[in-house]
Amino acid sequence: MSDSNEAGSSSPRQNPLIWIALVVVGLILFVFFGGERGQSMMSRTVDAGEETAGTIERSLLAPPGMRAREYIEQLRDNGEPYPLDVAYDKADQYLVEGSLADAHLLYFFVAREDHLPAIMKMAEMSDPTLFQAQNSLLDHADVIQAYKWYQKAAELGHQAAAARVDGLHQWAVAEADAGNPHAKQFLLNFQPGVTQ
Amino acid sequence: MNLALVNPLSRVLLILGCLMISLSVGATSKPLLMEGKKTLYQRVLSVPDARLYQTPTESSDSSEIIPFSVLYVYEKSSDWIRVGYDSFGQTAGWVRRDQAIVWNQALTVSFKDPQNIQRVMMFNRKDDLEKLVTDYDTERYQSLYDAVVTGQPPSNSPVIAIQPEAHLEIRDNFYLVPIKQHEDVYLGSEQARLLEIASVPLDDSASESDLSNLDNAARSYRSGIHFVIDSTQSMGPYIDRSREVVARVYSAIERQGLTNQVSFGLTAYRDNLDMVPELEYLTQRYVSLEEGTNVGQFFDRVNTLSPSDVSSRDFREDAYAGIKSAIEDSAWDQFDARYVVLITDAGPRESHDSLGDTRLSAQAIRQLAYDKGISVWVLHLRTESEAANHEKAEALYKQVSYYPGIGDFYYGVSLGQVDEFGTVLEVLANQITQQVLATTNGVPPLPLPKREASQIQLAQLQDRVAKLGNALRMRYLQKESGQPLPKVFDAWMVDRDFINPGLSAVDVRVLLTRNQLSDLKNVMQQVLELAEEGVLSPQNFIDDLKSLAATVSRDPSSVGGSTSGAGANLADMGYMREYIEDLPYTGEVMNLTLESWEEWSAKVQIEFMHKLESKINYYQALHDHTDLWVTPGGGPVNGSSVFPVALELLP
Repeated sequence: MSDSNEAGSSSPRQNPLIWIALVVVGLILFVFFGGERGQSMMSRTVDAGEETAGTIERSLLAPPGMRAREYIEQLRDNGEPYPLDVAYDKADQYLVEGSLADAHLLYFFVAREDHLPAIMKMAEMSDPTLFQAQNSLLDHADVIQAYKWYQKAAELGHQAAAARVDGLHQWAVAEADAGNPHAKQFLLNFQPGVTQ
Repeated sequence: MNLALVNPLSRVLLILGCLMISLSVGATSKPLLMEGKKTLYQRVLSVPDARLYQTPTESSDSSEIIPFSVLYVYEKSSDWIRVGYDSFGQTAGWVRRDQAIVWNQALTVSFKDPQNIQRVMMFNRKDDLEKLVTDYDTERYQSLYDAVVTGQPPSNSPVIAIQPEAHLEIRDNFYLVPIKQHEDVYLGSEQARLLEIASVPLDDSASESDLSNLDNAARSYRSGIHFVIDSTQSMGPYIDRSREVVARVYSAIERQGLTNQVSFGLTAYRDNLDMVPELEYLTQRYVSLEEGTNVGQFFDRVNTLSPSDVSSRDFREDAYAGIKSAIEDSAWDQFDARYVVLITDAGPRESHDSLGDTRLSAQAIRQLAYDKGISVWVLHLRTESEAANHEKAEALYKQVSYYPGIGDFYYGVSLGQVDEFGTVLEVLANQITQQVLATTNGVPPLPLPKREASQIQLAQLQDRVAKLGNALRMRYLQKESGQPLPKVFDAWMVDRDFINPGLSAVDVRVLLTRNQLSDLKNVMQQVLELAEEGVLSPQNFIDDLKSLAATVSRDPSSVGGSTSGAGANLADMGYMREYIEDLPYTGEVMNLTLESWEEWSAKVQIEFMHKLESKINYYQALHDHTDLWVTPGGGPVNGSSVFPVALELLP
């Protein structure tokens, strides 16, 4: 028995080299299949109702944005009116998954159709006073984008959007004072002297 | 000849003949085109002292031209150029060729704030600067710089002039430093440009002592801004915002080293105390202009200002009492530029109003201000109130703020929006500060006021601007004893900070007309719309872009061939506009190739789209800001008005 036990020293339990090898393999798997910004490959949920926990969803191997583009094409093929609330929820789902490119494209599509929550989402994703890099496809806030979408929301009667525009203005005034050229440029949208 | 007797055919011919004659008479000429261009006209800049002649002879009637005016060339002879201020066919007269600088590319320089970088030195000869740049000899450059800024350049110094010490924001003070030539070089490891510019020396006729006097005059030039604020119950938010704005303006003043040259005062006013004794005062001066030079003192006093707790029960307040108090109780003679800024949401009490304290009419109040050389500005908060008669109040305030020869200084803030009010107030205060800065900066010809009080200030400022023209004057360093300064001089400079070449020292800009900017915006807007669709459904984007190119190209016949190659970029496809074609800069939009777009990830495509949209937003905002455009030859803003757009903001 003692012999057999010694022979068993090559099992993982007894050989540290094998443990190290397993850890290395695990790390490699993590690197290849772990989360990547805008390109989440691993998913627990893909579509509502699908049981995919713990498995690799092959459709997620598509380039970032492709799933949203295919979905948009599908919506367009089915014709108007588009199910905007459903599409918005789908974009939310992409966001939860970490598929930032898909989420961004789908929010953008829905926002262009005057869907207020999507418009506000687009604005908030770019708003320099609210920007969160981990939830944004883009690396930086973009005050012009935020301004554009808040303006659009305000035109559609969303009162909170007007207050957000004020917030952007205040942000820009402070930034311009500190010498930020983009803020100075942005302030041209507010200063008097403008005739439409 | 009896026309009725002429046969019908002859009659038709006669009418046609008349039509042709009238058409030929009505046809307008166009300026001369630049060589190889289809839409770009030849342009020149007038030098200081240039004159506009009625005919191409020295003996004909002539008038002065504002220095560095942009002129279109309609006709050329060996010694003369026929010019016009626009390209619509209206010529203005003749200019001697030696009084005009050829300026076809319309490139100009705007200096960056020299707070964190060295001022730009200008060299007499290209070779001297080129050697410094090629050797990247920072030690020698620094020693030249130190000698120049300490006012002790050696007699053989290659430096001919230096950037003014204080910073002028080109958006607030239009100026031209025309670029005549440019050349790409490396400064250390950074790409840079050598620029040959034309400039005007400071005060081209003054003696040394005159120069010194002018320096002193400019440095002692002071602006006084006295706020007159309605402090009745409804004014709380505006009082708070005014405080914030003044705090920011004070910071800017301190940064620009103008602490003693701009001062604020404040008088609050309410209404008739007999009617509502709880209002506590009719007028109360919180800060005088003398005290307002000290920011701490200003806020110590102004922070105690609060709106009344009780209503004045009327939609008129005694604004004239406030203005009168500010006019009469301030030491205005300490200030060269004088402003009273009234802030109110109510109409004034006119002379016939028994509750009014002054019993003065709008005209009488205006005269009172005018006699002291004060211009009254009114910020009227047109709040939502059915009882308030804003139209009547506006008419009266326009009379009060009318300045002869200029117009009124009334600004109605719709719905009394606090943010709009704050922005307007800040811009006004900054404009006044900028005027002081401009005066200090270029040492423009600025006689201290010796005229009657009724003639001074705003009219004087206008005179000064006209005299200074569009040229930014540089301190000229090579004046030889007894020799007059040149009217204009050429010099070489490098566009990056020599010691820290990672920082740019100037922006290179191109003077665009408002029509050109509008065209650029329209074309880019169409590209953006395609790009937006392109990121969502990429399959049609390339074909759509090609189709659009045929529409927007100035030469549609050339589009088909140039788009076939995969490496074709937007410029090749026909999106390039002639007015930005040969500039020393091609933006990423024009450089975009169809191949690269297809290879880009969604993220990069979206980033590209956002950059494009940011530029379009700028073009639109700039286009709509009529206050920023300068119309050559004066007059209202039109399609020929110009603004220098930074090359980096081109597509």
